[in-house]
Amino acid sequence: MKKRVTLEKKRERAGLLFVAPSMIIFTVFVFVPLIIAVVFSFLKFDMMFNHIEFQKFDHYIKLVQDKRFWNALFNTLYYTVFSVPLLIGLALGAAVLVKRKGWFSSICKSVFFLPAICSMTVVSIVWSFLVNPDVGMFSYWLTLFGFEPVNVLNSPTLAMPAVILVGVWKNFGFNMVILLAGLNGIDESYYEAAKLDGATSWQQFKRITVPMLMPTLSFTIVNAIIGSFQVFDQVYVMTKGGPLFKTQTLVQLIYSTAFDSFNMGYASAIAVALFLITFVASVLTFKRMTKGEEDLA
Amino acid sequence: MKRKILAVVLAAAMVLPMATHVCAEESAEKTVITFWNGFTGSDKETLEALVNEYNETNDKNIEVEMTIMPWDSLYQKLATVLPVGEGPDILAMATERIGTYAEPGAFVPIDDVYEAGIVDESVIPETLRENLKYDGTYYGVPMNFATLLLYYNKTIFEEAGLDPEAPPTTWEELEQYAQQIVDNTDKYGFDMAVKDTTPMWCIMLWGNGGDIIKDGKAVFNSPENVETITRWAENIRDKKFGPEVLTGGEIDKLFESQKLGMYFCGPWATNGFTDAGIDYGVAQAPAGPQEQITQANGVGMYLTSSSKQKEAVYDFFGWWNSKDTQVKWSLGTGFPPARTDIADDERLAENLYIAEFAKSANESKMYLQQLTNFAEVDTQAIVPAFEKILLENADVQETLDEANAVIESLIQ
Repeated sequence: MKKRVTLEKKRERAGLLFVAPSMIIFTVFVFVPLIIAVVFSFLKFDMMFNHIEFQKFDHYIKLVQDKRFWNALFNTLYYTVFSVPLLIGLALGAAVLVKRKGWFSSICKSVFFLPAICSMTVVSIVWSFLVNPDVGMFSYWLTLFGFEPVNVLNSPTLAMPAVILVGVWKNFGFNMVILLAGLNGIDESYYEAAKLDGATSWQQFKRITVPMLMPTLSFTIVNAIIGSFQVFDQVYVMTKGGPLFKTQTLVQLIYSTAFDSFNMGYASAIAVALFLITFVASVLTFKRMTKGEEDLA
Repeated sequence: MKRKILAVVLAAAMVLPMATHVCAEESAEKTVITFWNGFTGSDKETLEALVNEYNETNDKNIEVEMTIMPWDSLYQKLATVLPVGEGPDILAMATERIGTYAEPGAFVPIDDVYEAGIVDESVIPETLRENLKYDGTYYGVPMNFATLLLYYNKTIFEEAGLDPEAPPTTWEELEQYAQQIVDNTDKYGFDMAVKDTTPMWCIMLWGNGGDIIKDGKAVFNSPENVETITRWAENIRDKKFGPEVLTGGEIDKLFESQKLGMYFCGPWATNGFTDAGIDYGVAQAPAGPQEQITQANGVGMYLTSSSKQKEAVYDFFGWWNSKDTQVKWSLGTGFPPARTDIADDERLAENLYIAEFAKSANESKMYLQQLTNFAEVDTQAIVPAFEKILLENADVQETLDEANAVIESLIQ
């Protein structure tokens, strides 16, 4: 009897040891900074951490009245609303297509995945060149067809769609691979049975693929939502938040408040707001997804 | 077995650098000072050669360890290293940013460098000298000093039927020449960058008697400015003199690819354009209705609060501002010397452009100096105003009123 307890304890200890590295990293690099950010958001201090003043809720009151914050929130939502469906839709479509065997789908798989292994900065720089109205390849093609090249990244209306497309182009391959793994996990016998019953491909996709893929899908969707709330790299490289703040996202705003204006306290307040928004959005999506899974089950 | 050997070799490779590092520290009693700056352009080579020369020749066993990185990554790093005392000993950056760092104490006052005669303040160009100070106290010594001139492409001038040896001298001529280039060639005539750039629009504002901040008050929406901006926005946007709202990098690229006839730029571009084989000339900025004036800018070197090597830093400051070093720097980069007493040095005659850039030193002003939040005033008020006017055809008076209020709230 005594021995069994120690064995269990041993197991418990082993388990703790296994999670320890990731817990330590999480604590040092995520949890502690998170707490510090919350504390900072109530303080005001200069670049050298002098003249520390307690601000109560001043930063949050300023936040609610700050039109740059609402503008950045709107832009972030704009990015999310368009990029997530596009990203997941494309990834799912591509996954279904490349699931077939054969050399062509292998090539397609590699090609679609290629952008995912490139750095976002490199991708953004390349795309900035491609669409540049004076030296860009796309602009050159446009002129071949007699169109006037447009400075996409300098246009208040077109800059954001351009940034969205680059993000989708870069990330859909990664999501495709995850979805592909999910697809391969679905037992062929379901499809065989469905075929025997005379189901069309669309019916098979709707009634078998999507429900069976739900756990993987909900993971990729939540991931994509979180990712697009935090979009920064391509905005920073391609437009720096311009023109006219039309592509300034929340993270970009946090960045420029902290590192251009050296207002760490206010930047922390925006970061806390972003954290809450992302948290709520992820929880809601997850809830909805798991409910969807249950309904289907 | 092979694996074991590999493992040992790899382990050794990881430990070895530490060992040599320790050795190096023990053997030499060198004073090492670190120096960060953003001279990534064609001036980089000259700067590296000069710093090497200093390291080899100085008799105090001082070694300057220089790190060159793009300006924007430099500014980003500072926010994390300066507060914890991990910054470099010496920082170089444009003088308009002094206030941002001097006010919270990240830069250290260095009046004594001038009092001790290590750097001679009487030979520093006056515009620059006043802006190495913040609140009446010196924080910097000159690193370089430059003015903007009108660069023009002689090949495009000929193509448009203009005399390549007669650049425009007034606004009217500038407009007329730009129009002629646009009409007769498929090139752009004249343009001014708006963001991430050395300021160009201010040359026009000053030329017509306007300003942005005057005596601590925002005057961006003055009638002169409304007139100036309306006129040049129409030229660029409606008469298609050039693309609207370029960055500094984009406008340089346009000129370098021979698609732009004329623009304002500093001496740092001369080497690059010469190497690219462009047939170009430089001329003084065309005179505005009120004044012939151009924008001057300077990079200073500052002692940071992280440094514990003040003596060594001062020695380098003194050496950098010596006649010899200034002549070499000038020749290598095309920057006019940051000393007024060597303008006629024979050695400088080698470079055709230096004299031309040095000439305008007295007809120049510096942009938005002495602020604690230069970057914010520029990116939150001025750049958006130009974007609105050029991209969205917004009403000039209304836009400037709005921007003026933002500036006022930022500088109060």
